[in-house]
Order: sequence, then C-alpha cells, then structure tokens
Amino acid sequence: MYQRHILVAAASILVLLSVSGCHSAGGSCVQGATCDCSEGTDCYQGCADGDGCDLSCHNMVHCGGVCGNNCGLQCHDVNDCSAFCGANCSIDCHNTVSCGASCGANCNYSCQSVDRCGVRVGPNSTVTCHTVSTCVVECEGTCHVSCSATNPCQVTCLGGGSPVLCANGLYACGGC
Amino acid sequence: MKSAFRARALLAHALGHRPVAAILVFASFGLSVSTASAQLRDQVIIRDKRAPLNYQLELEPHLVIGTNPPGAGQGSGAGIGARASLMVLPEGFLPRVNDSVAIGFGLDVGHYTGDWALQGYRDQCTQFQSGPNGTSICTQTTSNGGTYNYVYLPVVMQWNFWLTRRWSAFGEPGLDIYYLGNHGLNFSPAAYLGGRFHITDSVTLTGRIGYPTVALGVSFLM
Repeated sequence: MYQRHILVAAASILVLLSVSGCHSAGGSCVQGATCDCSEGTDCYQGCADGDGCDLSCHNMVHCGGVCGNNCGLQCHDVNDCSAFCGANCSIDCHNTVSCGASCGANCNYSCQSVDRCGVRVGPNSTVTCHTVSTCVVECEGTCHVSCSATNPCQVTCLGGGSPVLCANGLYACGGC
Repeated sequence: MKSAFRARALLAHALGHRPVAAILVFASFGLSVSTASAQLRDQVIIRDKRAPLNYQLELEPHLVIGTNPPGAGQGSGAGIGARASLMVLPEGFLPRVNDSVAIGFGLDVGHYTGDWALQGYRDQCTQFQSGPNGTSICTQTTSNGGTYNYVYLPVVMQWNFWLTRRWSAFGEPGLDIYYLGNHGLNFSPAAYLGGRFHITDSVTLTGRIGYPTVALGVSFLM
C-alpha cells in the first residue's frame, strides 16, 4: 500500500521536474503602447500582440526588446542592449557598452556612442554607426550603412558579393 | 468543595433578588468551572525537563505557499510538500526548559506566477542567440512575468519548545536547496517559525511561516 503511494508521489515529482523552468510567451506590452523599463539590473520586454509596440529601456545592466513588425525599440545607458524585431522596425541604441540587434526588412538601425555594435538586418535596411569602437553589420539583401567616427566598420553582404563604398560615403550591399 | 458551596450560596442570594444577577452569577460560575477544566486539560509543561512526547520521527505532509522566490523566478505561488524531522536531542539545549532538537529534511514543489508578485514583475529573456560582433540577442521573453516551477529541498535544525499539552512551537534555521528548470540547482538560506496544535498525542496540526515558503499541514509523530 505504502509502495503505491511512494510510486505516485515519485511520478508526480518527475512530471513537475520535466515541466519546471520558465515558460515563455510573447511579452506583456500591448500593441500601440509605449512600454518603458528602467533601473534595476535586467529587463527584457516583449510585445504581447506581436506587432506594433514601442519598447524602451534605460539605466540598467542588461535590457532588450522582442517584437514583431512595425515596432520601435530604444535603449540607452545600459551595459548590454538587445533588440529582436521583424519588418519595418526602428531601433535606436546609444550610450551603451554593447548593442546587438537582429531585424527584418526595412529596418532602420542607429548605434551611437557605443563600444561594440553588431547588427543583422533584412533587405532594404539602413544602419548608422556613429562614434562606435567596432561596428559589424550583416546585411541579408540590400542595405546602406553609414559609419562615422567608427573604426573598424565591417559590413558583410550575406547574400554574396562584397559591399561597395558609394560616393556619399555609405557602404552598400546590392548597389548604391 | 468550598468553592462549590460558595457558588451555590451566591446563586441562591442572586435568585432571591434579581433574575439578571442570577444569570450573571450562573454564567460566571460556569465560565470559571470550564476555564479551570481547560487549564487542567491543557497543562503547561514548558518548565518540565523532558520532552512530553516519545517520538523519533515526525512526518508532515503539507500545503505550501510562497512569494518572491529565490533565484530567477518571481511572483507568488502554491504547492505541496512534506517534511521528515528526525529527533536528535530529545533533552534539547536548555537544561530547565522542555525543549528538543530535530533535523528536518523536506521536499516541496511550488508553481509560481510572475504577475502574482506583491511588488510588480518584469519580463525576462528566456532565449538568447549570438549576434554579430560578439553580441547576444534576446529572441524570446516571458509573458506577464512568466511562470516558474520550483522544487525545494529544505534542510533545517528544528528546535522545539513543548509549551503545553496542546501546543508546541519551533524555530527552524537552515538551508533550502532548490531546483528551477533551466537554471538548475541552487541554494538559499531558510528560516521558519512554526507551531503545532496537538489533536492527539501523535497527530498535530502544524503551521510554519518563513522564507521561502509558508506551510500548513498535519504531523504524525512516530
């Protein structure tokens, strides 16, 4: 009799162990809202409805935003800033140690006064690196990259070929 | 015997004057008798030098609740668990006090919800991927603070104080080893204050408050 109870208890514990940990979902910010997060150590915001959120974080250690399409993400005065976005996003990262981002098509990414900036963008995107120690840009399709007071500024065209230096000083994948 | 005569005389005197006074006297007499009876039943034993119950092991299944868990989790939650306390010092630490010491080992499982936090919650990143230039990019976050399943393994020193025949109290300083999914094993300090209501000599209703959990259960003293 006791053995049966012990077996049931052990099975319950195993089930709980197997599902333990964090369950992720799409975040808590609602579409159309501006969600701000500051102070403390870590804050990672997500767009609950998937698209159309305006996420901002600042003055902490680690922060970031995850969003679908048509989003705005901004972070400043943090150690590490992260942005993950779909198409038609505008991302601004400044006064941080590192900025990492991945966004889809028609992305407008700005990285300013940062030690290390690394971004992967989709087709028809624009990237600006200003006063950055190292700026690494990976373009999936056509893109234009502006680097000022940045050394090195490394642009990679993931679709093949080498980036070209245009007359206006921009680096471009897929022609000027 | 004397008190009974005195009560009867008071009662007769009161009945001779006013009915309200008679009722009051009768009620106070009844109360004093029942209080005396309760005192006899629930005898104070904290000054006795020996533990009143002869048991080696206390098994206590219980329900647990908690808030602001240790580690990466957040929010508040509830769950189930059990505690086994082995008597190691039946005479306790104090020579003139009825105390005893046991070592307690437990297993508690609790499900926490981030948005039940008492002081708000923050979403957390649940998945990172490496980005260009050695950066790290968060690709997935929790929703509404996320949910967390904790497995606690408390190890405590249980210092018991046998107050009366019906009531006992204890303090439990110790350590809580806990398991939280991807975050693995970790530990935090644990501290509890508890009490028992003795339903019988070997079965008690046991409550415990402290960190990281609060528990209510039934103890079987064996």
